[in-house]
Amino acid sequence: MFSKYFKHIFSVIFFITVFLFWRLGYACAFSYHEQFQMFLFTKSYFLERMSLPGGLSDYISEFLVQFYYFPLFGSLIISGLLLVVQILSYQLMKCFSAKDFSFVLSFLPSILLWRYLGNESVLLSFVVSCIAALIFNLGYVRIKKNILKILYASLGVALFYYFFGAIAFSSVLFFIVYDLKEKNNIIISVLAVLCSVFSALICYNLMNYQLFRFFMGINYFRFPMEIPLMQIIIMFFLAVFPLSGLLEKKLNKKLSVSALVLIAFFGFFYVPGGFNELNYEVIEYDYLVRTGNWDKIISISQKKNPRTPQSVSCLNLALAAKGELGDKMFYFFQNGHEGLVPGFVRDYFLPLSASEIYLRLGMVNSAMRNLFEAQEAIPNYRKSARITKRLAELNLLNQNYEVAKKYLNMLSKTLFYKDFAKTTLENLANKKMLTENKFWASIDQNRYQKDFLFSDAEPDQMYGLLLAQNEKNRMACDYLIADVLLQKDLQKFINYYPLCQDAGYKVLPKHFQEALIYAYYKTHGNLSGIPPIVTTPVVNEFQQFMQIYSQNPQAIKNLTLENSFYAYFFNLK
Amino acid sequence: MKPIYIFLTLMLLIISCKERAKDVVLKDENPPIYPDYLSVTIPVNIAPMNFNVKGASVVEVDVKGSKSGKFSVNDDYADFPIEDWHKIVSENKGGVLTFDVKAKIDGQWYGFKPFEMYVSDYEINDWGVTYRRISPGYEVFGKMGLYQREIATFDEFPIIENTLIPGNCVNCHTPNACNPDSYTFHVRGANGATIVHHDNKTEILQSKSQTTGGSMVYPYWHPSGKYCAYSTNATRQSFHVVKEELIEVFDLESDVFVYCPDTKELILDSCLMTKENFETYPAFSPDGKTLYFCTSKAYEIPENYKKVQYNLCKTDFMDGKLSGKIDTVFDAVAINKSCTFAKPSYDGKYLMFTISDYGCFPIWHHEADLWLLDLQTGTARPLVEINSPDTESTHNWSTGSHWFAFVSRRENGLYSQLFFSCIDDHGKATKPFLLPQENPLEYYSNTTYSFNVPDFTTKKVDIDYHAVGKGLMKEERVVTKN
Repeated sequence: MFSKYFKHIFSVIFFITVFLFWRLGYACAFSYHEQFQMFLFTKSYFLERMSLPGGLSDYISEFLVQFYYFPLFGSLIISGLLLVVQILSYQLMKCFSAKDFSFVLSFLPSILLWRYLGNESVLLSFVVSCIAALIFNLGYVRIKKNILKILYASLGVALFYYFFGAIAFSSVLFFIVYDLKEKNNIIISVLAVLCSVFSALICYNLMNYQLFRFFMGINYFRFPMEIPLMQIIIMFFLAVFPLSGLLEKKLNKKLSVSALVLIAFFGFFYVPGGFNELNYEVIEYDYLVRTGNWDKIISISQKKNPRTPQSVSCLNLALAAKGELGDKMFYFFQNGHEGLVPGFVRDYFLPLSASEIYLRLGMVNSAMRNLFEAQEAIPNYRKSARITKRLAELNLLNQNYEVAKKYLNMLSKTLFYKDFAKTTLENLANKKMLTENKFWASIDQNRYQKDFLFSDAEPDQMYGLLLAQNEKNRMACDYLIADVLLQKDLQKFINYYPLCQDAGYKVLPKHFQEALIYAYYKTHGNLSGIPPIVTTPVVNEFQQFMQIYSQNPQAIKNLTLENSFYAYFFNLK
Repeated sequence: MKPIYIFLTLMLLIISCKERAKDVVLKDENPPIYPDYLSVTIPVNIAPMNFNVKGASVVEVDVKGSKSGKFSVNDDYADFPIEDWHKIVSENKGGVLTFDVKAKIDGQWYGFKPFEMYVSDYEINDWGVTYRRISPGYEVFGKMGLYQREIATFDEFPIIENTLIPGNCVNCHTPNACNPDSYTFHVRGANGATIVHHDNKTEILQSKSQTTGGSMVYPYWHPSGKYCAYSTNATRQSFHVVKEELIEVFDLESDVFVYCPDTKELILDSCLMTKENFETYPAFSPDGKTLYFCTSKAYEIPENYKKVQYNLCKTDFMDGKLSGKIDTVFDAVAINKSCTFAKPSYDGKYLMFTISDYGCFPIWHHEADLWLLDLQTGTARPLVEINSPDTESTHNWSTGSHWFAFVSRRENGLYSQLFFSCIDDHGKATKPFLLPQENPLEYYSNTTYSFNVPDFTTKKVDIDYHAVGKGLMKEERVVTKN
């Protein structure tokens, strides 16, 4: 029924669908993956990967993931790999005398993998290993001579295990399935099972990893102590799905068409379920911070309020970068001062955007600490090119030229950071190189000049000390006042806001005016004599707010007054 | 033979042969080699002292012994064949090796002044060195572990890596006077514990004792092997804000006690567990009769972290009992310094320690230097022969007490590297040399690890790391007794 031509068309449609799905919906995911590795074109990097079972698939996948630096390439790579999985699946099913119906079913492994890749901790290494397993399975089917088959099932399996890891257990299960179906001598596939188990045990004895990881994969998933059920299901499915080709004879054309429609629907509803909305929210915000796309951050926040401390902090950073924090922060959901700079946690992701906030404030060492810790916390022990680049810059700023040189030398062995590294290395003799750049010069100017021990627990004091050393540090001023407003501490606000007189505000930001007028009202009981720094629209809005609030506080919620400091203060947001 | 095979063989030969030096321009200067091995003194059993010539694409080196032997190498870097190396070094014990280096830099061959390495009469009688490799970070640790490296080769083996116990940190493997039949190390993190291997048994001790109030942190074995002194430290970190400093590590409180592995008893003495003082870094003298430790007046921390300065003190230890009488061995406070990590040489002649401006964690102090106290004369001096403008610390002696290993941040101020030096009979140290690697420039450029607390080991540490890993993942721990 499905001609070869139509089959190609369906495959191309599948490729385009996957491509558009990632390109339009989840482009930020590529930055997320790319930033947690640093592929080096060095012998030692290759040997380090090859020192563990599954090392070749790690090496191949990390080679591919470096291209995620450009999201377009990322979409192409994922859609290309899933297409390869589909084609190989169909080739394998054809060995079970399959035709049309199998062609339809051959999309299933790709769809399962597609959904599974929605979990941001799934590594591309697993997909590469699945492809390797499908090819390996095809090889087993096509070998006819017994002696070759024995070699394939023994030495071949051992090598396959070492190069591609625990996916070998999926392959040996397939060997059993195939030999049973073909009524072959089962001893060869049993030999394959023994060889795979034996290989895993040898590796276990030689390496400092827990036993289960040799049977479930050392680097298919970013977290070492977790093996998702879905991974096991896919490994099992890859071994047994070719059997579905046996159903071919019992099915007619209509059923095949129905199956195609069903699978398309299944994919449509099933795949998005693998993508956790909240996780991708922070991934997107971090991506936008990384690329400095402040307008986009604000525009997506306007469509949908950010909900996590990390995404709220990214939004506030964007507002500060645009000079709008004091004017617009209460237009959005706020979650206390954690939404300004999230507290330090031992995580590999959260400190990344936090470091960007610290950096722009002028807290260079805190930025460095967060970056270094994030790198160390990467669960699969990789280094990060994004972090290494920033660390190189920060060490240049701190005049630790030898450390910067070390990081730059490493980056010069990458593909996409090499130009930056080489240019910087060539100019290393120019000690003022970094501070000749406007961005870095402002950070150098804003940073602490006198030493003390940093305290995460007293953020307002930390902002205040920045401001005390450079009264023109507008962002420190924004954060200082925003911090006390978020804490609803009007006394501190009154104490701190005079510090911001030289911070470069043409007009005192709206929310600061709101706090000022409310504090004044609380002290004086009326607005007579209110300082002229509070503008007439703010005075009018305050009067309107107080009038509505005194009658029906909940009515505020649907008015523009909802976007004021008062609404936040009275929990009406 | 088929033409394709002949072609491939020829290609292989061409590829494997490096270009020989020709039209050499002589320079009256030392070769720009990495690491700096110019005029260093080496032990006879050291691994090949391979080096790179900075900027060179091909290097040709002629090695000649003052007593006998010579050979040449020609490669991307000076990569000495291990057998030729050991032969020439052993033939020239007490003599000199001369290295004549030619290097092709930017397409031109240059010849440099020959340089020398001195082969010491003193051997390192140990099999290898142990160390911790860890990124020089703050609070979080990625992949790290304890490793052992054979001195005569480039072979490195893990003792234990935290991949077995993800999220945990393994601290400082400490054998008994370099003999790994008894060793101890501490594991920090959710699966924290103190590992004690003694009498062919490995025990996983409860990380924190109610009596001591903290973990068993810095250990030192009594030469009899019957006891092991530990300090217990409530350690915290804070972070500087200026470019010159990064991290400050300090103790909120610390005490010293002795553990008896046979009975699981803790030997406590109020003189080493005072409230008004911090006591830390215990070390037994080689005869076992003296327990050295560092002590400072206790201050409110972190406000007064710069006031904390440690003196080196001692107390008597006899028949499993501490005398309670404290003597000052080195008054660092009198010179406005802080003394830590005191390690006596096994021949009883010296005490080596780290001197910094203040505090108990000198690895983050650029000014930290090694000092040597002559126990016969009572005089102490900075080891100017080996110190650099940056940090030197965490040293240990070889069993012969001539060679010692230490770490230094001299190369870049952040990543600690392992150096060796030798003390002669007059107490003078030789120019230190960096732990050899097969391709040193590639290794040290690419590594993201610091070497930490090196020590010598008389033989390969025999550890069932899987059993230790499994034990750590369980909740059961051996409880110590008072």
